Amino acid sequence: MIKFNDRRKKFFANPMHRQTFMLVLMAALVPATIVTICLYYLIFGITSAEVGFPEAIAYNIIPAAERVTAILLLTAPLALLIILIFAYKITHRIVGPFDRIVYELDAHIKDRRKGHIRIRKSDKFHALVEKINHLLDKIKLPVD
Amino acid sequence: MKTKKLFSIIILSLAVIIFIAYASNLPKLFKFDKKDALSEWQEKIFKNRVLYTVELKEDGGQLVAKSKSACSGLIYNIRFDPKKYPLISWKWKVLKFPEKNYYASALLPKKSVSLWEKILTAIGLKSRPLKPKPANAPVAEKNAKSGWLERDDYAARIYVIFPSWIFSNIKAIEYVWSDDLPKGTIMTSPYFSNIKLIVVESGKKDNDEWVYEERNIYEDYKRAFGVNPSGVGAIALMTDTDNTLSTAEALYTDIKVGYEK
Repeated sequence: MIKFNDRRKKFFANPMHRQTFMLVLMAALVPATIVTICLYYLIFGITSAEVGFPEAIAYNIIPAAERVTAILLLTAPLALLIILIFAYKITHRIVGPFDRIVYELDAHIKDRRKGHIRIRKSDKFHALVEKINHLLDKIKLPVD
Repeated sequence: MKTKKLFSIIILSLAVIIFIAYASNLPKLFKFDKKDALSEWQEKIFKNRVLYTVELKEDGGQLVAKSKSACSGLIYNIRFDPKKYPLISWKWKVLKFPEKNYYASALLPKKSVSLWEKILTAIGLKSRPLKPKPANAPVAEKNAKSGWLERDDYAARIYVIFPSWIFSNIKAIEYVWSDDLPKGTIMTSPYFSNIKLIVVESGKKDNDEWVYEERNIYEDYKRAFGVNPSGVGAIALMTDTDNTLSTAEALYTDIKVGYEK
């Protein structure tokens, strides 16, 4: 059984939360890394090889690369942070209710709780919870 | 198992072919004794065009370089191991040196330091223009002298270029004929700390004869950079006068590269 009090102390609510978050993180990081490698070692590298003379590389290509690096260093961490915050919030809203539904159903099965299952307004799966509540109502109707 | 063997044989054969292709190309000799002798060189123009022409003589040929406020060079891509084939030799003659005066230098636009460069320098991602020389390397650092960048023109220079997978790690040795710096001086280029200039001839020669040079690339690299060299990727030559806005003229011939004694 999932202990909800412990959950709040953890960064990830459960393994599924961690996996979903890592997937989103990888989806952001991997293309960004590929683009960066292409930028440096295909564009700057090939241009440098074409220029040939080290003075020309030092005077033209390295300053351009340094400017790109500066822009990347300033913008990439910020962009990544924003992506991470959004990814965390969205994945939390998706994965959080799943545990809540399982916990509440478990409580109903063991007769520790009666009534409807409740989730936060901001959580996903409202349609699913609505159907479960409808099912719970139907189960508890007296048999004619 | 058969596929693995076949794959290994293919890889080995390719390696042998590449090795033979490189080895058979060495030593490479440029005599400039044919009209189309420059067809195997690539011309790179940076500021105006230096006139590089081949002149055929009875006893061979020569490459004539005439520069008028220009900066362009000829480059030839050749790969070899400088430890195995350390020698390079050539003959050259300077007919006119660039005029290194400060009046011409004053006309050149100064390179301003941008905000980005300041930030990068501050956070240590960009090296300062004058890096300390490597320990045990007897390099004479002359480039702290004011106005040196503007005077970075030489009547004749031969490059040995050491490329790198990381483009900013490219290194080069330049053998220069200077009109004012003493012979044997090794210094860092004002453009790039990965370029070391070695003055192999100084001043005008009294007799109008060819001067023969033979250098050990491996030893020169070790003296200049303080470490062992990687593979050579290209050689180049240049006669430039773009910084001094003057004129220069030099002759080159019998460039031989990639051999041992």
